[in-house]
Amino acid sequence: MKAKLLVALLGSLAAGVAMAEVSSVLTVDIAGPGGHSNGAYGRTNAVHASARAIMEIEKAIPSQKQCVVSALNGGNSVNSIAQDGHFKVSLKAKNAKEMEALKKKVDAAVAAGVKAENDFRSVKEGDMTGGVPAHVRYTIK
Amino acid sequence: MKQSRCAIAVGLALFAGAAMAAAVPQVSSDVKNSAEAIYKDPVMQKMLKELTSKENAQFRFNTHLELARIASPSRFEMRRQQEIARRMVEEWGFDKKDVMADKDGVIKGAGIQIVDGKPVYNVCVRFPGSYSQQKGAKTYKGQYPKVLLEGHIDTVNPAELPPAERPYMPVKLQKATEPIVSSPAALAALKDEVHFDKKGRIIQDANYKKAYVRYADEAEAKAKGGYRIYVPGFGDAMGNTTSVLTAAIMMKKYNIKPVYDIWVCGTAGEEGKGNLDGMKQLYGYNQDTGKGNNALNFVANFGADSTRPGSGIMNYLGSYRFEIKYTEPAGYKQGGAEAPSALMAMNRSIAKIADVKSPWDLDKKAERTTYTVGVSRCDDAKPGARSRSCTLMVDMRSPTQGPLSAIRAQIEPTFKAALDEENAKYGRKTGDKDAVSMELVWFGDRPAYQRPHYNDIASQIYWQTARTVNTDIIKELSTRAASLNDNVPAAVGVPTVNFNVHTPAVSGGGHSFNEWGIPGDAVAEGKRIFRMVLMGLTAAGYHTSSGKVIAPTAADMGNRTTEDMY
Repeated sequence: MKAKLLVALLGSLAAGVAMAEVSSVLTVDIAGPGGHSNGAYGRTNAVHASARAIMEIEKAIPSQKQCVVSALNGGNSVNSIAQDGHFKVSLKAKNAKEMEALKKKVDAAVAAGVKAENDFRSVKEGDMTGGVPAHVRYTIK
Repeated sequence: MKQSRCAIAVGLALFAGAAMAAAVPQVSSDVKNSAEAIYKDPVMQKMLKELTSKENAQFRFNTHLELARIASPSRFEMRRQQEIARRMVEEWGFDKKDVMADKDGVIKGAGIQIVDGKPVYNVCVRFPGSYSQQKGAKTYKGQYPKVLLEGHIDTVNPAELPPAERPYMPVKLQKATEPIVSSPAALAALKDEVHFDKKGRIIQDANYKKAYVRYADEAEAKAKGGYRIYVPGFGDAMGNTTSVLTAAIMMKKYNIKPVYDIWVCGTAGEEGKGNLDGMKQLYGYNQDTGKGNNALNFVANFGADSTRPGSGIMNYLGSYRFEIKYTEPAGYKQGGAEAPSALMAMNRSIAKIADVKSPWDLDKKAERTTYTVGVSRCDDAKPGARSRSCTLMVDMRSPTQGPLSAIRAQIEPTFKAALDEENAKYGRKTGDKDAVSMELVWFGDRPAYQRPHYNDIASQIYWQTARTVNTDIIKELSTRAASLNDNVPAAVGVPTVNFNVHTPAVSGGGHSFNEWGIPGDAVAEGKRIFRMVLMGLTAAGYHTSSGKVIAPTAADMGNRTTEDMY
């Protein structure tokens, strides 16, 4: 019996360590109203939102084997509220079904991060500031 | 500002607040009489006549565009500095020995020469005064008292210095009735440009005739087929700085003799990464200690950097800026061993910062303390790898030092806390070879200053000269704080005020690629320049054309917050 258990254990270990079968790189783009860091303070910030989103992604998919975030770029000057945030999410899954599940998790996590930034600044979709939408919003490609 | 000085300032402010309802300076009879006597001097009246002439208006317009087109990012102002220095000696009548501008950025006698590890590209002319010949004349370590007039020569765009073969920005024209260009491509596509010859002089061709028309305001410009002129720095700040340089040219032409020395400077580093390096050199301010030695012994400071005609700023918004870089060891591959990530270390810091509530967030009646993570930059990563380095830039501001230090104390610790957390998650300690490391790439300090009252000599002179010259008379001072060159003299204890001189019909796009303006009322502008000269002379004293000496109203010893030399 011990031998069977060992084989079973080794088998599942091998399956776990086996190279992922499906890879996908998602690009997340977050947009916000921008503005002068002091003059327009209180607005949502797309880099802050990106950071919140990435923390949510880490919570949802803690394994680096499955998920690695890279290339977080956003904003154009130190004294501005970042108007944009972009990052890449590299996903690896055993099969297409698992990949679909991972992608859904990423979407939910980004949505949660973006919502958290909007809530923190008491802003909702439809609000305007300086003639542009006040809320941070995202697209995932 | 030290805690005890803060407390005193707050106390005085409360007292002052109780004693007076509005921000109105009490002007001494000395200041009033001096300003009026200097104003009336026939030589000064001649200067005013020339400043308000059509010829000077055109000279200013030409000079403005000829200097603005020279790309001059903060810390890389050397080309504009050199051209101004050249004109000072070859065209504006100054002696080489009175021009303080050095290719290596050294100003003899300045309290600090290197700021943020780099040279400083100020360009100044000095007007020696008669004070040194007076009996009992005081010096500070050999430096006689002096008054500074200044405007800055760095511009936010372009952010990078272009190659030496292409040092100029195009000066584009567009009908004022068309919408402002909304992309760099649209700006580049504008067909009309102002033309310049090989020596950098403006060419007075058909496009010049489109560009050089002055209007009262935007409505008139639109109605009369006027043109918008696009060049970064049009408003912020080469319009004001050209006016400041014109003040120097006039003072030289009319052989103005002050009592204290007067320096007129095009200062470096007012914007962004410039970190006020020009003023830090002039005032010997060291951001590691937060103190300035004012080795050159300035006793009053007058700056022109306010873009809206008629405006002035009395209080100075303090800020701290950090640029932090996280780097992980090379060789990470997804699917291999899990390891701490530079991006995640940076990200943890940003996520913590994003949750900071400033006092103003909690109570809109509190001081307006603000912060932002303005930039995040990571290396590209090949497929299967990840960013090796990531950098964040954060800016925090407040009008007084207390809340500014407090928000720094909330934000600064997150940089290391985030780093340690990320490393610990993977069983590493910060400092281990296989851990993420962190580097402070740059730290920016603009000291805060809130006036405890408005009776200092700069406020009095600012107030009185408006009335004497009959320009920009206001009912009370603006108490709003802004971040300007004046932060430095104010923090060191030297009375200072910042105001507008440049008078466009309209301008816009400040700090943006599409900065633009339309020339405005030249007579109003000439009067504003004259007022700035009068401010300097009221502070520094003046020898009238009849031989009478009008004594300085500024103190004969500059203030400083340290005697350490750097």
